Amino acid sequence: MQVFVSAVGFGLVTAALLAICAVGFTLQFSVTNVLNLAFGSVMTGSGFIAYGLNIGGMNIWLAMVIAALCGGVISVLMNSLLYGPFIRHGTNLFGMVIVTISTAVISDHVIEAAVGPSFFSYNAPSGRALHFLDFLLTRQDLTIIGIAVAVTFATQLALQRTRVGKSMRGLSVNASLARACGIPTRRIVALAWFASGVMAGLGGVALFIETSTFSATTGSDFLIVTIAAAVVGGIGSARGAVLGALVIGIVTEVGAAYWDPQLKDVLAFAVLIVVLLVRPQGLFSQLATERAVVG
Amino acid sequence: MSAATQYYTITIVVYVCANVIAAWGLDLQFGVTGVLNFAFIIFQAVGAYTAGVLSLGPSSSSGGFQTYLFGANLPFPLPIIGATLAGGALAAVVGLITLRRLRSDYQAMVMLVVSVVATIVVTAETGLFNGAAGLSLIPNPMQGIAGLSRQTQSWIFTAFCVALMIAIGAVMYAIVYSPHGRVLRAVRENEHALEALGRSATRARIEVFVIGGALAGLSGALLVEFIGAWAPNGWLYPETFVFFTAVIVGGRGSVAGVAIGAALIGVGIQQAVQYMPIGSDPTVLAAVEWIITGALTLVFLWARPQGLLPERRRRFARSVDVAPR
Amino acid sequence: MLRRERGREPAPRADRDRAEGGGRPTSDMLVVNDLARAYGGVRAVDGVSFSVPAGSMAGLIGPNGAGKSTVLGMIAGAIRPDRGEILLAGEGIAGWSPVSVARRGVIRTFQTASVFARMTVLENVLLGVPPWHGERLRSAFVGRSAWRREEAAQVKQARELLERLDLGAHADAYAGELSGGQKRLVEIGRAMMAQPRLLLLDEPMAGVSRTLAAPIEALIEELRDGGMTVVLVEHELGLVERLCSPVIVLAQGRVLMQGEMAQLRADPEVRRAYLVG
Repeated sequence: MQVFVSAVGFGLVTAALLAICAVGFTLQFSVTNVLNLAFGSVMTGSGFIAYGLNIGGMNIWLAMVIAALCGGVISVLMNSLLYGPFIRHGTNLFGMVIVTISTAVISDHVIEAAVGPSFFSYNAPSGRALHFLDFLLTRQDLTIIGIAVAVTFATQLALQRTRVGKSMRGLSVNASLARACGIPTRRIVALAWFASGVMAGLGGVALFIETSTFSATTGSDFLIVTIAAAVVGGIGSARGAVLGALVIGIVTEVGAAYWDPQLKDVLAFAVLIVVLLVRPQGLFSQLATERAVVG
Repeated sequence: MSAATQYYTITIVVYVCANVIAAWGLDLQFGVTGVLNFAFIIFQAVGAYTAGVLSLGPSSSSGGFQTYLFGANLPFPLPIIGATLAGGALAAVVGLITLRRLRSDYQAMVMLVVSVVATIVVTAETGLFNGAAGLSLIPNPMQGIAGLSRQTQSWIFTAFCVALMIAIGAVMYAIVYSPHGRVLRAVRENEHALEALGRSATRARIEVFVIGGALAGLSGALLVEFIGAWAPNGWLYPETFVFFTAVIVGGRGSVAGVAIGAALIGVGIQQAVQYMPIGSDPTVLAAVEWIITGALTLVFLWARPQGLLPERRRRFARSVDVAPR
Repeated sequence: MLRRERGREPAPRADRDRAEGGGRPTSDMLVVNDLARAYGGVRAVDGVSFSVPAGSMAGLIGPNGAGKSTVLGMIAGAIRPDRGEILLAGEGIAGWSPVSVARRGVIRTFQTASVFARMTVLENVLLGVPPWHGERLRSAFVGRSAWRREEAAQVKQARELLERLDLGAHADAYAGELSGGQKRLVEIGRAMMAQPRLLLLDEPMAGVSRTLAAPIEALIEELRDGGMTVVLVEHELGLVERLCSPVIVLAQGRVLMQGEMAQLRADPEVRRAYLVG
């Protein structure tokens, strides 16, 4: 029982990481319909920006904030300099996927050329491990869970209550109608990219904190599981992303505890495949028709 | 020709042949029919592993330092045939699940996931194909021919690869420029319109998935027989992207175009990078190869999406009369 | 889209007589019976029944949101009905997949002309031919001489058709480069190559410029005179009046009235449904 509970605890941490990333990923996808496979590169990039600051003496949490903001800016630039022009050039949904993969490949390897193939660590003590209810979590873990909760709540609140949020929801449902209603599409889209980039940054740094050693490929490796969580929850739904993150986070950690830890990601993907076969639209979203990309 | 030059030439030719055959497989899936097969590399890998396992003999015999499934000591060209069948069979399994039951926007993502899962499973389950270390010491396929120097054997293998490539090229032309090829291209252009004319787009996709998978398996076999080793590090999921670049740069849907693309992207970049003034750190060299590959894809998608040698427009001869029955 | 099984559902007892012609011989190419489909809570189609005699051109009209396209979609197999039956020459095809329905001889056009953009106009029309043996994968390798002849015959037929449509000069142009009206002509021409038992035209005038409206109307008229059974969904009531009989008016997912255009125009309920003069 203790094994199970502590596994659930680790699962919550993994779920927290996934939630931050999946919410950012799915928010941007729901507004723009671009499957941004360079999301992992933004995570990695932010993680290394934080590393530079941290090694220079800055507290890791402050570095995280700055790196996250950088992530937001990088994402906005990625869209305005690259994705947007390609979309306006007439590239369709599938063409954009290849554009984002190319961007990811270039970014990842630029980072790799810059930092080299070695592994790095933050200068961030993990704090005492806290024992409660058989959970075994450190201060760091709890902070990250707290960040995840804050981010998801803030996102939900923004989407439901603020005008910007409602505009985003309008865009995600019907872009041409939204435009016709006077919603400033370009600005809202830029905001969506910024928000998603910030979450990528937060997620990237949090991931690097949790994995204790990281390299130039860590972000992109995590991207696949992030997409799995977003798809399981129903791509385009922020609530779904959180649910997907919880399901996959807990399933993988419990599975790792009782089964082969090397294969824990396989479990995540098994969950994904099963969910897609049973409920193709994911757990939360409604069935979406073919949509056009928004840039 | 000096021995070094011979070896260099043989290596280039074999790599080009294997890459072209593989790129044709992806072209059939993506260039002609519009299937985004993001798991392409695993079909090449299964072919390589199958050929290796069928050439190595039972795992216990080599002293047990590598563990793998099955194991047989089949003579050339049986391992290669086995590899081709394995590529097709794996494609059938993956295709029947992903192409039939999932929405098209999820198919691409799931294939990416399948590629990652394959790497994880093969690395973790060492009993399959010796895990992260991979297979090695795969015997030279031509060693059965006694009395010939190692070099001559290599040349024979090279000639075999070239002949195979030409044969596959003929197969590609036959498919692409036939009425069947027309149906495939229609799947790419507008699958709903095609279904409304009584043809099943799903069936066409599964079929090119299997053929493309078989070609990928074949290319894997050629590579592994030449290199003698194969490990998970060589077929991580981004490797699929290199083949996509080859198809896009060469000219999707064009048999000759894709061949040129495969030669340029698969082999050309790697060679070019060696002559660049960027030092000799292998990590940097590899990173620059990838950056060039990604940049070329973007440049071509922007400026010349039809590729270097675009798909030929199909024109039909005007005949005065149909030939008498 | 979910897979649909191609099979016959047993007709509900009350309608079996009608389906099997008990009591009344059926010369109807199409019979639609109590068709219904809801999206979420909205009943897009709520119990629609009508029949189309063989060789006639039926018009399906109604205000926006009346359910016309949904009905057409259900007949074509693109949308799965929640209930109801669809009989094609007496055979039930409700719930069949689009591929199966098309193979049975029901060919449709789409609201946005659905051509194969990066293929030539001639190739587009060639794909209208019903699925034939030369299209199979194995035919690419064996018996090429056999299908070459047949393909040449199809090409000849296609060229003649294109000449009739005044598109002969564009035979080798990419279909994606044509205007909206030209694409529509290609689409209808392609449908004609299929020699369908039932042709479904979904707003053929949508996206067509005035210059091509007349030739397209003339083409549709030719089809009717040639004895093809057609269901025409159209907003342009003038076209419907000139060509269609019977005309079925849909409103809010139900059949409001059925008859000749003249009497429909006079009916106050129909006018109210349209909110137009």
